[in-house]
Amino acid sequence: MNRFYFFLLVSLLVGCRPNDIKTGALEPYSLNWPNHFPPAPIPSDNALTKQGVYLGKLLFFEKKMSADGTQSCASCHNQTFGFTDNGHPLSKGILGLEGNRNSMPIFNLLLHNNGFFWDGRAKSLREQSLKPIQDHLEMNESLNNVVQKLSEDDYYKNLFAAAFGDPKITEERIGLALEQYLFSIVSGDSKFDRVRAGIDSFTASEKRGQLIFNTEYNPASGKTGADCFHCHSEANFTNNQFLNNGLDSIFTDYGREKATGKSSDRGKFQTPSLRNVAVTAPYMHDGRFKTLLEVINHYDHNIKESSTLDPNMYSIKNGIHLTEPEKQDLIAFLKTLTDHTFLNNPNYR
Amino acid sequence: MKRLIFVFSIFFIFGCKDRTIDPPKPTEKIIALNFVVNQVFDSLPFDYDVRNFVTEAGNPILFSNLKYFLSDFRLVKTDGTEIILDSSFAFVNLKTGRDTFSFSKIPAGNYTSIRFKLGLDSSVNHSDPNNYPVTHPLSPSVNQMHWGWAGGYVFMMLEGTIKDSSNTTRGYSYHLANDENLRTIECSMPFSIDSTSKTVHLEFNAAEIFKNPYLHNFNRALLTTHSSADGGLATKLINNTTDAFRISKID
Repeated sequence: MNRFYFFLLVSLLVGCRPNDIKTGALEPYSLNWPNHFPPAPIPSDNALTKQGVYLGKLLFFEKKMSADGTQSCASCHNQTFGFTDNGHPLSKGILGLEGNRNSMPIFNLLLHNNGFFWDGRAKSLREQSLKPIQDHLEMNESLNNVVQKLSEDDYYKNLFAAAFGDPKITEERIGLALEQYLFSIVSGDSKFDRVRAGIDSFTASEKRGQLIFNTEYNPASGKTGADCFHCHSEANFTNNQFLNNGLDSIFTDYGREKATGKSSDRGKFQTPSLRNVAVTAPYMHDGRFKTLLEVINHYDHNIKESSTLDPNMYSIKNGIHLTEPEKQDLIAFLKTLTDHTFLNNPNYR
Repeated sequence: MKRLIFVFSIFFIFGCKDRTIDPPKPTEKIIALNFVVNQVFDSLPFDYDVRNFVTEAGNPILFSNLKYFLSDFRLVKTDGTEIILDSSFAFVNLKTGRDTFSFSKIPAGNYTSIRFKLGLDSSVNHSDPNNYPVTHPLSPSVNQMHWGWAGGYVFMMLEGTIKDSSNTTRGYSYHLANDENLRTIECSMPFSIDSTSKTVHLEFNAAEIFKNPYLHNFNRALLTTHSSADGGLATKLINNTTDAFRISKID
């Protein structure tokens, strides 16, 4: 009976379970990759296959990954919120304890070439994806136990056999399958993308917002934009760098320094993509800002000085003095980065 | 087109130390010219994120970023004629360890100097950056040197902080760009190529950005330029930089 409910649950969660999974006949996964993105750098040792992506998806939604069977990766990465945690600044793990950092969105991870997590401490996605399972503040489970639990399930053995050629379940294979699924999640069909392709057009407010986004702040040369594009640059609206954007003068979270051990990295965090930013509130590594307006007000007049403050932040630390209508225009532009195709894509669930 | 550029990149792009080249015929030896870039600040070894340096105008300066594109390498023969190496370019960023590049199939001969450009020629500068794989030197993911919205690359990016005359820390951000700021650089050093590959040790003196001929004083100058409407600041800094390179040795 348990098995029955499990399949029912899987069917509900996944929707489109392949009817028969053949071992030995790996089929390439057809990645829906936007033409206007750089070519997808799929790792040569983990090509996306239908079987691998499917297994990764099941693991992502699998509550056996947590010690008490109450949480899966999806618990704190909800597609409706751009795969962030349902509006929570910090996420609670199975022990009811809050983690330290805001749940990061999941899409276009193939374009992340500079490490994962807010501090970049995981070099690869396969490495990253195993950490929350083991984190005591998150799913609090050992990989040995996960392997054990999955190995007791013939269904998973078949899925691993289909994806990897034999039914052996290992930590490494769990990481590889999760990596395949996570890499398969793509967002490149927002209004911004459609305007770029010439099949939609901005409103007057969105257009003004785009100009503010793309104009430097340099009053000496008569330019008074918000200069967002410097760090939030196309195609994924991030530069993948670790930077201190002036949130604090005294740090409670040392950020990148924790990963590198360098004091010159103190208070630096990965620049997040602004795609889907309107649905991924709250903002910053600790979720301190509830709204886009709060974020804009931070950059507008609240930059805090410290020894690692980014030079581009230094240059605006006396404020960029956007008017309230300009802020609203900027928000209107940011909302054009919301990709409803991605947010509702049934392939991801 | 992407495939073409990708294949092209395998043959012509450097920055990786073990780049793939055509397998040589058994009798043919491939002679390479390898480049290693070192940076200094006058007599001091260069480093990022440390405040060791003082500019000619007396400004204490820290670099959090210093990176640049070099392109159009040519060898000048003793008779003054040029050998164009190929249409390649190098993206140099010592902060991330990107300090080497190389050319192969160097013709034997006696040479007096090496010419190259600081920046990218117009056609590369205005190519679509999304055509390049994210591991490619021209991919914005690698270099963070592209203006997404307006097109075109930054030729040289320098960012960091200075201490102003009241000892207050201030940020600077100089993004030197635009076709008209492409400059040819010539480094003299007689050398010959016979049957063995050689390594050119190219040295970049970051102190030169702020002096000779234009004395840059951060206390009076703009602290930001994106190379437009800046009173010619970007051009002045680029002009200073044309004598910042020298060949320390070829071995």
